[in-house]
Amino acid sequence: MIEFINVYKTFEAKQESFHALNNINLTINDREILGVVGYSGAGKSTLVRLINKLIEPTQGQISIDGISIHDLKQEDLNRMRYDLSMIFQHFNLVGNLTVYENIKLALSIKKYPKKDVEKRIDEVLSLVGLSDKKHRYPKALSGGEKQRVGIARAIANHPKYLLCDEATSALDQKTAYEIISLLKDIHEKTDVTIVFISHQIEIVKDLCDRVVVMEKGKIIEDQPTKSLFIDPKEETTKKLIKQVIDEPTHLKDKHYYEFIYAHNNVDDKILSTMVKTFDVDVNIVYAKTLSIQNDLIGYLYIELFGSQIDDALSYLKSKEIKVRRYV
Amino acid sequence: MFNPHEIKQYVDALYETIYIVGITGIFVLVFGLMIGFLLYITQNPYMIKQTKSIKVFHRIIASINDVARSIPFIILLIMLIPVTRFLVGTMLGPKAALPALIISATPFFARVVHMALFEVSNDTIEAARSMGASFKHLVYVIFKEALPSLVSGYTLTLVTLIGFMSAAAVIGAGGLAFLAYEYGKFGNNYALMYLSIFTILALVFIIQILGDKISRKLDHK
Repeated sequence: MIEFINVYKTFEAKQESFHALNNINLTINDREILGVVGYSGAGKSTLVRLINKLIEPTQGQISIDGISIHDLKQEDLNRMRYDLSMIFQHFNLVGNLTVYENIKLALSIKKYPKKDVEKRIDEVLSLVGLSDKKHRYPKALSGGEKQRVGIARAIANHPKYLLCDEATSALDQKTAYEIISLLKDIHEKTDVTIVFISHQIEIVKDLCDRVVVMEKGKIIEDQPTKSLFIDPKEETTKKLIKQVIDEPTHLKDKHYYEFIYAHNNVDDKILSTMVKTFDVDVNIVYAKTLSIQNDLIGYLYIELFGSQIDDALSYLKSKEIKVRRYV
Repeated sequence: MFNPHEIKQYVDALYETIYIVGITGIFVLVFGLMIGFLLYITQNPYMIKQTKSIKVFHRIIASINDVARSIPFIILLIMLIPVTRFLVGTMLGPKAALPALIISATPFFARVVHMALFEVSNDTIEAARSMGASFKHLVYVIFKEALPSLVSGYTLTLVTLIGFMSAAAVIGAGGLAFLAYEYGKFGNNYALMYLSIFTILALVFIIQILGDKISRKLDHK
């Protein structure tokens, strides 16, 4: 378990100081996959680097499995870092070492039993699907392959935590989803706790059990992924979700309604029942279904005409559909 | 074309040049690496905690290094005459050039080392730190990444050294440049002069080409 209690981080520059993190309180549970999203500059990368003390907090307490990281000696901190593996946006492999040597270096740093090193390298390489590129240098690999090496290197010593800093942001969408499914696969096999930092909420929605939204150094929202998508509380969250829904802009001047419906009522004939029962006409302007892990969430944008609009809306609300009116 | 005496002079001079470059090269490599590395770690918060005394220490070494580097070689050579007499016992012959050459080229190479280490990507270092790398492992990663630049820098230093040796020839340090200087200045054997100069050029080219080749071979980025 990773715990943040009243954590602040201020970067002091010559002209002015920058408050990167403002009173962060957060608990990351064992075996969960936590997403941290927000626009750039929100403090996500700083947050994740506080966990393994690559950056030190200005104020506040951070503890890993009940052990405060603040008063650790360098050696003890290093030992703690063995269990807090990290992968990076730009992969950060050692360019003059081969794939094999990169993983070997990580295992050697983390004092993995020498006699098991060779076997373990082959295991992780086959897990990430790179057995045939064992003796290549990073330069000869594609972005996705580099990140696979990054992942192999990170999980080689069976760490308890995997910190991912924008791990898919430098990759194209297809490759990004391949990395996500690799991470899911690893999570299933090893129960590693994953902290996944990203500005791409569409990536996070497929991977994470729970999502934290950050803005200007603060955590503004913290919900299970599905409920975040059904019921976002903050404007920034709504904006982030809108990017995924890809809501068309031609709705600007119209008076329309947004209906959000979740998995359990996706299959019901709610809309047609509504039209038959009440004196309303419907014009569908836009619709989108998002899959969130194993669930579906539907977003429907419609115009309503007729005399019984209010009754129709109460009927929808009674079916657990979220209704919002745009004027 | 050349009589046996001239050939002997030429061979001796070539031997002297290789001797001086070799000895100086080894000293410069060892001390330059040490000083450059020291400059680097005393400036890098991840290698050594940046206390006030570390910062002062860094500034002292950097200043001494820069001062030594800025003295024109020929002046340094003259400045060091008493020291050389004391150390080597003579001001003539190849040995006499060694102290000045070492003192002049070491700070140069130290700066090159410092820069090469500094160029190693912070991202790579951060990755190593995130794994819990000890000082020893960090040094390994940094040197592994800096090695191609270190080799090019060392090549550059050796080439510069050969240039310095020509200046040392003026005070009678021996070697090919001395041969060229003597025979050229007194105008009695231009053939030998050009041969010496050509050999110096060939040496420079060989060092440069070898250095570039090794550096490229080591660079996988």
